[in-house]
Amino acid sequence: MKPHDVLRQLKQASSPFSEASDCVGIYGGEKDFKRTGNRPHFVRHDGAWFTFTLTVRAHRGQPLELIAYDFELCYPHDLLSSIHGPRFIRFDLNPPWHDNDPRALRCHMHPGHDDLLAPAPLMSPLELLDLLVTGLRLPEEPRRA
Amino acid sequence: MKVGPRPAGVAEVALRLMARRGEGGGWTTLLLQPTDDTAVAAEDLADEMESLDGIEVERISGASDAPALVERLAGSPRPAVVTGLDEWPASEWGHLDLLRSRLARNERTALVVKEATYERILRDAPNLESWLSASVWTYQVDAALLTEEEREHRLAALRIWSGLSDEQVIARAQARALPADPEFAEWLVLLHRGDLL
Amino acid sequence: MGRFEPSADPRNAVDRGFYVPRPGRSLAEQLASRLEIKPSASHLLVGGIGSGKTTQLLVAQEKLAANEDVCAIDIDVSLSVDPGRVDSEALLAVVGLELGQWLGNDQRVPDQIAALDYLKNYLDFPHLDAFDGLLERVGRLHLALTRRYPHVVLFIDSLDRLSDLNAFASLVEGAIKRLHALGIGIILVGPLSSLYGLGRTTADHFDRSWHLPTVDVQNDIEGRDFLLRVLRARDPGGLIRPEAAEKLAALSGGVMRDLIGLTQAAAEEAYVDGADHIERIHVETAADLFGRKQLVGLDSKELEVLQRVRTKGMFVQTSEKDLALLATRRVLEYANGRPRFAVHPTIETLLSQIAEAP
Repeated sequence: MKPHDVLRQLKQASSPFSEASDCVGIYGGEKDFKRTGNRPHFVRHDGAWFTFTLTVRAHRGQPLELIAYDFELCYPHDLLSSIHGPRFIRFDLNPPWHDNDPRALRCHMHPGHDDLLAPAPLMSPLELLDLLVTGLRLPEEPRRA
Repeated sequence: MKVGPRPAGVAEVALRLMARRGEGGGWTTLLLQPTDDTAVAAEDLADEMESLDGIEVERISGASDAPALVERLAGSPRPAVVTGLDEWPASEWGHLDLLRSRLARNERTALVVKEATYERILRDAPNLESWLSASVWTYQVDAALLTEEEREHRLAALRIWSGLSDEQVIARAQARALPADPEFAEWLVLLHRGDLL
Repeated sequence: MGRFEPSADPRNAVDRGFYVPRPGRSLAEQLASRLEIKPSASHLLVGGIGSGKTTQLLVAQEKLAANEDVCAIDIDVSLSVDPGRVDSEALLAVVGLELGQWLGNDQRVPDQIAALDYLKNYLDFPHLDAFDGLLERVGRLHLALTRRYPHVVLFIDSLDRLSDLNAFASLVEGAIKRLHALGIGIILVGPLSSLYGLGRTTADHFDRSWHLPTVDVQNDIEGRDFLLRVLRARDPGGLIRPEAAEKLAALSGGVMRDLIGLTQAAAEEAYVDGADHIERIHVETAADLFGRKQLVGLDSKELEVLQRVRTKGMFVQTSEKDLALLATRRVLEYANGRPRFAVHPTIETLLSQIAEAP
């Protein structure tokens, strides 16, 4: 990807709610709910693409407070033709709301299914970006039993 | 028809400047309109520069005259963001032009000034200006912000995904009954209701 | 991109082997040759902003320094003294201190050390009626140096920054004249205006004046090839595509610093575009950026003048503003045969768009 294109995908929106505080959304590409690959996203050399959204609270003069995130990596179909793997992997941090669902895990991952959750460590946005950019590579050949 | 330096946000200006590694450093100039906040623009630029290279950036503000600026720049081995020169009279820019040999440094320097100041530089410090070359940008304060169209696009996608309307989401947030998906945090920010987070 | 930094010290470019001599005999070669024949001569070198004067001075100094009989000393006055405040006394002090450097610490005898202390003290605490005392000390140091080097030649830079011609004239008629009288050879970079009008009387104090012209890229094929060689010297890896290099040479207008600066800007465009080479499109984008900043702050009268230069090649300096257009390189003057004027190529298209706008 060209550096210019990387910059163009990075956006933010803010919702100031007091003189000293803002809630800010930071967006990397556009969410692709149907995973078509037709929305703006970041592309890796292997063809996998990813997007992310961060919600933070900014207090003047203090570090940012992380409220929620979702980082999703999708594998293109042709990469999956010889290797059976999940279509996508997604890391979520839910907002800190009261939740009645006993299944809920504030910090979790979805290994290829929106309704399948597994615990995941809380990671910093940069750690997650690093993981999505350099990690989670499908092997060129499947492992033999 | 007014033609001026191309608009750019601090992220782009920082990316371009920090990409210039190697000898000689390099200069870039960010032009602000009269209503732009110089301190905020300069601090944002310095932050972006630091985040790209992991090197601490020197903030040099309000040098009283050309010799003072030269001394402060020469005294720093780090990339620098220079501000606070908008009150300099034309003669001081002329003075800096005379002293420009002392400005030679092996690190990158960003000058953040109002457009009217740049006009003075062009006129009264033409040699210095020739160093600034093509890297002159008009500060675009909202470069990184979602446009209204982009915001509406994202909201439309969220509505389709959830089957809910904006009003329903706000009502549920007020009742503390929103599902615990990060998409709803995003939704509230897009509706300028971060107060409900 | 570091090879194309317009603010880089010209000395670095020379040391790194980026220097390319101009077609025919370069000015540096001519200066060095003449000084070898007559080391005590005085020369005035002038040229526009970014024309490469300092580079020519450094190369001439290097060539002459190869002669064991010559002590060729380059002095950037602005590094020691504020050029806005330099007078004959200060210049003598700076010269004397430079002569002292060449004597070497282990070879200085007490009266030379005393002379150096006097000169240094003057720069820290200038006072009136010091000229004769300073000159005497300089003479003492010069004499000592000539025991090692029969000839001393000074290459003095940054006095071209003096916009006050009277101040420049005062230096020439004062310190420069007296240094020359000691038998010291001098090449001095002076203000371009010293070759014109009343400034000419100051230029007449020198044995010879030299004007480093802007390369006429449009009409001088050898000049254009020279610019291409300059690019190649800094681009051994071939990052710049040939058609992009041609475009860079044309769009630079023949101004050396602008050639370097535009190339850097084009390299930056290539970088953000994720390209492996600098292509023509990157050069065109860089030129647009360059031209846009050249047009900042121009009023309607100045735009009118530029449009006239663009469409008719006519430029008559009738005001300070007109002179400023020349000094700021919006208007370029070419002296290759018949003098002609043109707008800087990077603003041509933009001016045309402005003219066509409703």
